[in-house]
Amino acid sequence: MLKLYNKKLFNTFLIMVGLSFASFATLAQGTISGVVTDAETGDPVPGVNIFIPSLAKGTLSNVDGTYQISDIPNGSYRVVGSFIGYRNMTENVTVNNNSQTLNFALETSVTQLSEIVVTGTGGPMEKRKIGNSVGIISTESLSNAPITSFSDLLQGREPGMVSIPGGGLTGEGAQIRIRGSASLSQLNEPIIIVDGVRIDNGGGFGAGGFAGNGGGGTSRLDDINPESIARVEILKGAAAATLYGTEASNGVIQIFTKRGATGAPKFDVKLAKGIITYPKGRYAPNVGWARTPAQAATMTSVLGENIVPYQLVSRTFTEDLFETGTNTEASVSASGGTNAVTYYVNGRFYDEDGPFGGKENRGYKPGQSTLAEDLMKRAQLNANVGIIPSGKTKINIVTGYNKTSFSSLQTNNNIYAVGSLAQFSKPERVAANNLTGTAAFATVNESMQQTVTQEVNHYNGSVNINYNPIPWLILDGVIGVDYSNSASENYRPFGWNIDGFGGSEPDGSKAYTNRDFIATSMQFNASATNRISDNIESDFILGTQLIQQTTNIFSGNGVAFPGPGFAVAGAGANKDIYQFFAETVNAGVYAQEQIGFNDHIFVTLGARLDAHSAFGSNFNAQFYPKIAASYVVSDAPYWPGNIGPISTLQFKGSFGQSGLQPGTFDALTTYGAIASTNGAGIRPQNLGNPDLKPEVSSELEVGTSIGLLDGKLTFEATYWDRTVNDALFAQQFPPSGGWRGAQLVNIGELAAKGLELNINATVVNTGDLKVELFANAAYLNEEVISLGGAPPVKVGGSYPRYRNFLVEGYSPGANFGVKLLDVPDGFLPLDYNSDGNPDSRAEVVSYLGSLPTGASLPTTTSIVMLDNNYVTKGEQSVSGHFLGKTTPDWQGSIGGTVTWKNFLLRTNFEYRAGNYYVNNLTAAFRQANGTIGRNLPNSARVERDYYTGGVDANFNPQNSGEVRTAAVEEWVNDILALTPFAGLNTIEKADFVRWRELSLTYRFPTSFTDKLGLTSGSFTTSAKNLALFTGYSGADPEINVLGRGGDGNANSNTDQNFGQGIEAFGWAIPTTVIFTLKVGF
Amino acid sequence: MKNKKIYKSKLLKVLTLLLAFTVFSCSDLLDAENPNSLVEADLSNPAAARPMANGSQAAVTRAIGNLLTPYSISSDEMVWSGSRDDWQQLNFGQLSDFANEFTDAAFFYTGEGRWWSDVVISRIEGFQADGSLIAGDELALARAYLYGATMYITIADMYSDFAISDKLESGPAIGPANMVGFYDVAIGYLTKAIALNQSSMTGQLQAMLARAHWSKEAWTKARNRNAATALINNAAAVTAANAALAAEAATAGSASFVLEVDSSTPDVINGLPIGSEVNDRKEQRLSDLYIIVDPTTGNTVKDISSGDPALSISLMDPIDGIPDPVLYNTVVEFVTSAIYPDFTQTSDREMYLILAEAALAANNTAGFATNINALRAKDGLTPWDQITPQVPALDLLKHERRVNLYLQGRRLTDHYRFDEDSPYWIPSSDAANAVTFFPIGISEVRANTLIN
Repeated sequence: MLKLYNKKLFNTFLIMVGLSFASFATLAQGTISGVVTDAETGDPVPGVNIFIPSLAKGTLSNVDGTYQISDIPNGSYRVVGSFIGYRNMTENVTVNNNSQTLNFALETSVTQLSEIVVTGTGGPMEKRKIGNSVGIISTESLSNAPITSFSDLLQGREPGMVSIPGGGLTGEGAQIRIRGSASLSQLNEPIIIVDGVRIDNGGGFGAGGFAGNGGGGTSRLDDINPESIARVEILKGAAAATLYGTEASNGVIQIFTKRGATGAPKFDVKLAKGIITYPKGRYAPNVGWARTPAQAATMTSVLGENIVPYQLVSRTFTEDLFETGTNTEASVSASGGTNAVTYYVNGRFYDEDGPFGGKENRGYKPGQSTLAEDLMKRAQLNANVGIIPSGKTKINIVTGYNKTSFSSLQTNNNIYAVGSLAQFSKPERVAANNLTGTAAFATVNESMQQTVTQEVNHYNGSVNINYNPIPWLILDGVIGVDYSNSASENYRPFGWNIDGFGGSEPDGSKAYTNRDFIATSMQFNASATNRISDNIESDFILGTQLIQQTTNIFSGNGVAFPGPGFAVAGAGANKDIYQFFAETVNAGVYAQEQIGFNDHIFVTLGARLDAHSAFGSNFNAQFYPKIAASYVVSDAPYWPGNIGPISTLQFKGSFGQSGLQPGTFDALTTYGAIASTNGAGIRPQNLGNPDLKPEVSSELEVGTSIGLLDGKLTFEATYWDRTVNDALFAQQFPPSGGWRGAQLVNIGELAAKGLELNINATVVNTGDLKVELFANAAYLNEEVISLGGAPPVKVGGSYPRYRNFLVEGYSPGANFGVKLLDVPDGFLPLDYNSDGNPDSRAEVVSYLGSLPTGASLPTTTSIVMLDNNYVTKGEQSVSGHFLGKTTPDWQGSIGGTVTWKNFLLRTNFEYRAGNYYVNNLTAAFRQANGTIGRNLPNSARVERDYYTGGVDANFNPQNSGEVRTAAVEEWVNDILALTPFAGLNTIEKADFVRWRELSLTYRFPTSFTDKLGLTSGSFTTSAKNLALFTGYSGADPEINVLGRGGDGNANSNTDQNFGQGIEAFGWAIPTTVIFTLKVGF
Repeated sequence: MKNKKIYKSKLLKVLTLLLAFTVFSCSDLLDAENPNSLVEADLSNPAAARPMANGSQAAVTRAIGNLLTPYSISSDEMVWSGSRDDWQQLNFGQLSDFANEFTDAAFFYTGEGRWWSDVVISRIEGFQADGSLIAGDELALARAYLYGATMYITIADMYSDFAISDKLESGPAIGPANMVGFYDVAIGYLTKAIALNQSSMTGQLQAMLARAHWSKEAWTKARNRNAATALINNAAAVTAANAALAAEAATAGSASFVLEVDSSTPDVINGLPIGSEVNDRKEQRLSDLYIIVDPTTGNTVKDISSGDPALSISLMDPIDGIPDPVLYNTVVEFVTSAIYPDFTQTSDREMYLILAEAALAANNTAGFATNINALRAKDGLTPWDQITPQVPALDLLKHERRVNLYLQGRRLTDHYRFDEDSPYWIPSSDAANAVTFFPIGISEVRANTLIN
């Protein structure tokens, strides 16, 4: 394998090593100590980072604000005190075999250039030295936010990072996207790291398995205990993530868990109780009408009101399933320690019984009840121990365990889903055994006999050893493992079709999927800090990383139990099993050199060399370079202090590359197994491509950070431009060539650019009252530049109702579909007389007036005329018109915090806007489908009017050509949808603003807490997803049909990536109100 | 100080080398396990002959299962009753839309079945040619020929046009006029199979040969769409049919070729096969022209488990005036097999139909009577009286074809050649206005560099 070691690359590393040549200081002799206080209040400030940059040495202030740094070599030093929410403060000190006292009085500030980050930098580094942006979410600033999961923690916090929830069912996970999509074919989820260890970033029910509920799956990210998180760092793209190499081009999210601090044991207890409700009014009622007196009589009998033929009847079958849900949370933390050992332990329990009910007034016979539930129980335990065996060595042991029990129901675009069947329901189809009138597949009550469960055990642990053998060298190693097991089950009891309506598997079935995932991470860094001269400092990092991930999926399915009571797959008469094993190994070495000039200009060069088991046999290794620069003008010696209102100013820029590897076995030509009645057989499976290599994402990023009004206001702007070359594209070769599956090839090119803006301001700070506001916005523009001559790809394959395509010249996932023929005034896009030309309105009135009662609306292209003139090359390639993109131009959030005496009020709104379209497939079915739909108020009326030619006050048919013409006009212009009219009257603008969070906290006064022996206490009333403001007509523009991890079947990465903006029978995001009591002692 | 710098430089260089060496020198480090599949070399082992033939069987079965759904809903045999509108378009007779999701989805399985059955034949022929074919595996080769022939006949029966590609290499569209040549490929395969003298397969090979010859002529008759000249009298088909019936006489059932599906073959029912779509998902139901619909569900056969055909079957035998027993048996078997119905490719019943039609075409009333009554006798039905016919012979032939070949993928050809539209076709539909079978699907059109 040494052949891989390209000589040029090797020399590059050596050059970087060479840059670290210099003299190094002599050994330490003195001590610096002092107290850190708030400049305004005089209160001690714990947790402040006191840092000597030239020695890369520092410590944190204690609870009483005191700190001490020992073993400092003699010399003069610049000592920096930094903490979130305060201005960076610098003091100079000279150590000469003595102890020096250095106190810091920090001034509050929203400018955070001095924050220390470690992700993507190889080691701790101030933000001001970094040429790329790093997002930081501090949980301390969100202490009163209504956060019940890790997804909540990410939602709307950082411009450019979007959380895409599958839906509003209890436990549904979210997809995470950072700066859009960096891959056409590989999953665009960022990699997730907890304390240096890669963790499972999957979700759903285990791809390829049997168990699934249509997309309402959980996310493994939500296994992370939100109470254990101290902060989250986010790398948004290749320029920042180069040191993570292959697998990192979708960004990196690193989570840092809380650590103990020296001091007496400290306990924090959190108790919370909440209520959860689905929004009313977002689901259109079910409207229908009887065709015959017999049908009207049945409706009268079942619905309990006198109904005559052709009378429109309305019911709310979906909202009838709502109830008021509840959640409960209990969390206890203990922390403390000595100079040698610190600890942090947290135990958290979360229990949710969501707002899906379906239990009351269902008309069940004795012994019957609703079995489907929306429950989530999580037990989470984190224990972190820090050991300092000597002044030169630190050991951190981190462990986290999560156990989740999840119960849910069939959902989304799924004919056996509770929500879809409720929304399909037609009042005219009601019967004694079908109380909501579903037209096909199963009754709502039958669908609620199906259960979906998942049990998850998720463990992660790591050991980190940090060794500082000599002042200029730090050796840091971490080894860790992440293990998750999810056991998912779908269950239909024997005789689940209690109404005798559903015909699928009447004797029951049980499907299970057991997924084991193990990621083993090993990383070693050596970092050398070197002051080359009085004006030049050097930080050199050399490291290696090895990530091994294995996934093992066992699935089984048993159908047709011999009788009631059986609930294991093995009891089924017909059984099917599946197993899949995948292993990937990623190994890389990296180096980075940062040169600092006069402590205000910083230039960084870095690179990573990567090998990966998924690369083709004809490809060896990938080299990823980076270069970055930061110019902190306000730290320059020539900075006058302020320029007008500007108090701090930084310019920065970076360029870097990272990659994304092919799928585990994509490079191989393989043949799979298929059974025949004559025995086991072989079939074509994967075409293979020995030339496969990673796609390479190159990103340029430039930005500025401006502190204004003495740090009272900060403005940050980042522009980025990304190109993905050799983009892996799942090319469909001719199916007539015998291989059904698409094959990955490195032929694509994907470009994206964006702008991220962030403003933080302290607008009032007068003693008791402090008002802080923030606003952020991210602009995103993406384009598929090239598919390398391959044909466009459509999300969902042959399924025509998903209209998202990958087409050259358009945003990835853009919608394409049909449009009506544009006709002159006085004409309609209809050809009833089959002359090949649009009929005039008069012709239509005349023709329709001649029809008897019972006419059927036109649903074929032989009558409804379409515009088949496709203008652009892209439209021609997919035989469809461009109907809008699924990612908004702009997304972001706005909010603020008001602190008044003991009260803290906090809120934020999140928005998406600009060329943002959602395929409202729920409405498409409901408005147009002749069997299961036409039950929206307008479509039921139009169908009734066309059928009857209008009715009089007593609902007698009038056979009016004019009424029918008005109906068919509305039909084609507003209602007609689905094939062969896919995309028509379905894809609509979906801009929205959601009032995401509101919380009000009352902090108990010291006089009160002292009486109770407490160190702190508060009571918070908070709410999330309070209101939705949108012109979108569907249930919720934010939810997504494919959910997290797909629907448990065979969804491809392409579907997961670009099946955005499709809403189909999901559950709207609910409103949650939580009451929280916190005490510390 | 200089020495110290050099020392540090060397130290870091050594460290760099050490890291790189550690990561990249371990040759096993990046070898990931793949226990999920075989690779190309594994198929060169003669022991793979039988598994490959089995795989061909499964692939062809899966393709036919996926084709029968759109084919049957395009005829009068089924009616759309579900949620997915492209089934309705087919039901309306809109067959030529290359973007129809179901014909497009089925094209993938058809392409796989065609390519893989050809490759399996080629590979096993290779073993035979180099003498490495394991003794006894001639049967595997004969089976491979049979599956290949079945695939070619089915494609010719059901598609207006097709393409023959090879893995990454696109092949041009065959052209509608050349589709008839697919029968010749099938006939060639069957001839080779018969030459292998596998006695256990003689009947079914001859029966499929009869079907191939007959279908080749029917292909032209359908495109003529002229009821007056619709009848087929093909000498090669008659010869093969008689050979098949001779085999049947020796061993009952030997003239039948059924692609079987059961719960041991779960992968065969991937996609949208007819059993799943009709019996489980209920996206379509059997049509009112054949069965009585259960009013409580609106999409199932009424009282199918009662044992009384009168409660379930609407199509009457034209002579006895009773619910057709052949149809009843077929419907019961189809419905009760749920998602696992077998796919009959040919049978002794079809041989009688071929012979009866040939006789009728030749104005050989006695011959017609002999064969049609042999068929009717299998179900205990009253013989057709050639002296005082209870019904016209042609009507009886059409009826017997409807019930004996129900859900076997033959009905569209009869709609066209007898010029009898499905009542579900709308007047402006493709099928009502032109002889239309399935097009090359949109996925193939997009992916195939030789098809515009």
